[in-house]
Parts: sequence; C-alpha cells; structure tokens
Amino acid sequence: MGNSLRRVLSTLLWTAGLVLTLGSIDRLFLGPIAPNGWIRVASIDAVPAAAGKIKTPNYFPATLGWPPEKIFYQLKPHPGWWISAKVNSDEPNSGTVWIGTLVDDSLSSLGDSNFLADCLSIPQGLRCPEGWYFLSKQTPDNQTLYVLTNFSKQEGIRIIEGL
Amino acid sequence: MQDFTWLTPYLLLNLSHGLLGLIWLGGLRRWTGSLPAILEASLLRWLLALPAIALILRSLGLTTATPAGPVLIRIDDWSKIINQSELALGALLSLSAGAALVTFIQEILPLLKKMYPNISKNRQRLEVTQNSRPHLALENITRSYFKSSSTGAITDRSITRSWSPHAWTWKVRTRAPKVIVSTDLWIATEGLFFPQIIISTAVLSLLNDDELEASIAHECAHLAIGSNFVLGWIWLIRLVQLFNPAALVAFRELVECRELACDSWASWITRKPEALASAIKKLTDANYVTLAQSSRDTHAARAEIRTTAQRIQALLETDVTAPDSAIFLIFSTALLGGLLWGIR
Ligand SMILES: [Zn+2]
Repeated sequence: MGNSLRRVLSTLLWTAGLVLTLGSIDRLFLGPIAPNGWIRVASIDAVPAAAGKIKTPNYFPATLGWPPEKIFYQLKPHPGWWISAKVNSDEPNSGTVWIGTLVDDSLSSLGDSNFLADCLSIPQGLRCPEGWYFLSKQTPDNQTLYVLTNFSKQEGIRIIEGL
Repeated sequence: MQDFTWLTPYLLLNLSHGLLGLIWLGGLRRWTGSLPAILEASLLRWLLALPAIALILRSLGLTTATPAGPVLIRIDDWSKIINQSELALGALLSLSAGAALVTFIQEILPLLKKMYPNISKNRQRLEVTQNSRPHLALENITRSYFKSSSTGAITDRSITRSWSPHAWTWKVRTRAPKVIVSTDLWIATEGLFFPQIIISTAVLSLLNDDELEASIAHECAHLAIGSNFVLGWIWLIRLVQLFNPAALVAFRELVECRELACDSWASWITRKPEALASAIKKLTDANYVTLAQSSRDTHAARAEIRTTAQRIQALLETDVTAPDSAIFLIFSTALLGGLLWGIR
C-alpha cells in the first residue's frame, strides 16, 4: 500500500510540475492570456497593437475634442477597437461620434452604449435611434472603419473621409 | 509555393501531444521507481490514442467549441508565430514529412509486402498435423490460470478482457492450437475475431514441456493484453498520426513493451519464468525470431531481437507478481488526458 501511495504521489507531483513548466513557457513567450470581450482603457497608448491601429481623424466638428473620451479594445474572440469623441460643449443634445473597426455580437458589452450594439447589428444601421447615422468605409490596408454619429449625415461623411 | 500554413496548428497540436506524452511517461518511469510492463504497455497505448482523438476532435471543430479549463499551450498563437517565420514553418513541415517517410518505409511498406497474395497462398499450403503436446500445455495453463485468478477464464468461447476496480480479470479466447509441419521455428497467434495459436513442428521438437507451456502462455498473454484486433486499432491510430515523429517512437516502445508485458503475464500464470527465459533463448539461438504476435509483422520481429536480452533479464531478475489493479492505470491516464487537454 505504501508503495502504491508513493507511486500515486510521485505521478501527481510530476504531472503538476509539467503543468507549471508548460504554462510558464507559454506565458513567458506569448504573454498573459488575453481576456475575452471588450476592455476599456484610459488612453490610446494602452491599446495593444494586436487590436489594430487607431486612426486619428483629420476632420472633427468644432464641438468635439481629441483625445477620445471612451476607448475600448478587444483581442478575443476578434481583435478590434471603438472610441467615442470627447464633447467640448455644455449643450445637452450636442452631437457626438463613435469610430471603430469591429462589428460583432460582443458589442452589447460596450458599457453604457447599448444603442451602439443595436445600431450596428445586422442589418447594419437599420435599428439606429432617430437621428443617428451609420457609415462605413474600406481603408487601403483592407480594414473596415465604421462611423456612428448623430451629427448630420454630411458631417458624418466628412469625418469618415478624413480617417 | 503552396500554402501550408493552415496545416501548422494540426501538426503542432499532434506533435506537442506526442512529445509531451513521451516526456510524461519518461518522468513516470523515473519518479515512480519502475513501472510494471503490463501497466506501461497500457499507458503507451493511451499515449498513442489520446493525441489521435484530440486531432480528430480538432478537425471536427469540437475543441474550440468547448473552451473549458485552463490552457497551458496556446496552439493557435504558437502556430501564428511559426507561420510568420519561413524557417520555423519549413522545419515543422520537414520534420513531419520525414516522420511520414520513415513510417511508410519502415512500417507500412513491409506490411503491404507481407500482404502480397503469393505469400499467403504459400502459407495455406502448409501441412497441418496432430500433436497432443500443445493441447496438454494449454490445459495446464488453464488450470494454473484458475489458481491465479478466480474471475477470468481461458475458454474457447470467450473473447473479451474485462476489469473490476480491484483487479484485472482476463478472458482469453482461443481455438485449439494448430500444429504445422515445418522446419521453420514458428509460434504465433493468428486471426482477428477467433484467434488461434499456430505452432510449427520444429518448435515442438526444440522445446521441452515446460518451455512449450511457457511459450504458449506468452501467446495467450497476447490475446489477453492486446489481441490482433486491438493491434488493428493501434495501427489505425498510427495512420492518423503518420506525420508525428513522437507517435513513431511511442509505437516502437509499445511493440517492445508488449513483449515484456506478455512475458510477465505468462510468468504470473505458469509460475515458470525460467522456462520462458530458456525458451526465448533457445528460439533466439536457433536464429529465428518468434513469439511475435503476428509473424507478418517484421518490424515487431526486429524489435524483438533487440529486446531478447532485456526480456530474459527481466524474466530471471523480476519477481513474479500479479498484474496491477486498474485503479492506477485509470488515475494516471486521466492525469495524462488532462495534461494533453491543456494543449489546444
Ligand atoms: Zn510476443
């Protein structure tokens, strides 16, 4: 009995040692495991390159400021990012802009922006609240950029063309 | 150049599973003192089977659908890194192609050759004769078997091996041994569902009664531990992992370990390890490799030459013990399964 107990213990220890070693090698070279879903960060610099490069708009309506107010990124299940512009106006109904790259089911977890998920769900743009416009464009590096705004459609087009 | 990058995750998954399994078993041998041969043969079988199962699950898309438990090695992320470097991708592909080539030349080709119809026709023309000695030996083995184990039986009707949590029980199904007139030394089990021990007259004249009984018990052990039917399954598992060098190594270790396992089983039944050692020595000295489960398997035969000395030593130096309980096998196989599940 003592012998078989020793055998069970050494097997457990050896297997646990292998688990630790393998896990450490993987984390050492690939970094920590990326959490699933959207992560909010304070600055654009905090967004990892794997989520995609955040585009700086050339044109913004006068009431909006840079850097963005809300910054989200996601690595898993699919890489992508979304930002919302900072509103420099005290007017309660002044317009705002969301810019981002990824449209999938996980958007509903984007904090207070449930309408964003609705608006972007398929068929895209059809379920946006009154007065919101949904625009998209293909960049030269084959990325799809989305702009969501409650400014006028013309403003939206100017913003997306400046990206 | 053809795009092979989609292959990387599959090759990498199978290779890491196979390598890790071998490392795990190596550590087990080292840290637990020594593993009984029957246990080790069973573990080697799982070591071959689990990576094949994982590969099939992944091909069917069933592993990504159930991301349960912590991941130790992220195969997809490592595959991306390998795919980014032509050197790394080339190394992985060459290693895999090399393993497939070796498997094909050293294992599949000889097997195909042996299936060549002329040879099997020749064998059918062999003359069968009657001799009571193998029958008496089998009767002795059956009698000893009931002394060693109360639950199993060697009959001419039962086929399966079963186990209870506390002890292995074995059922060996074999038809009456067939004696063939031949000057070749030849003893083997043949047949998939209704196996039969085939023995040549040359073996009968070479071995005394004890040696004959021990040798036939060894053949019974093949039926108890892993019949030709099981061997067929293992071959399928091998084919799934054609590109995996680790599977090649594990398969060869299994072939060698099986003989040790069958020897230890036979010694447990007959209590005549010296007689079996002497039979092995006589047969080897007579320059023929026999006791292969199937005489068609030349690789197994070659592996036996290398292990003959090891087998004789094990028979003479290891105490005769009953096969282990199944508990440790189930426990350690579950651990191995969990370990491999972490790589996905
Ligand atoms: Zn054998």
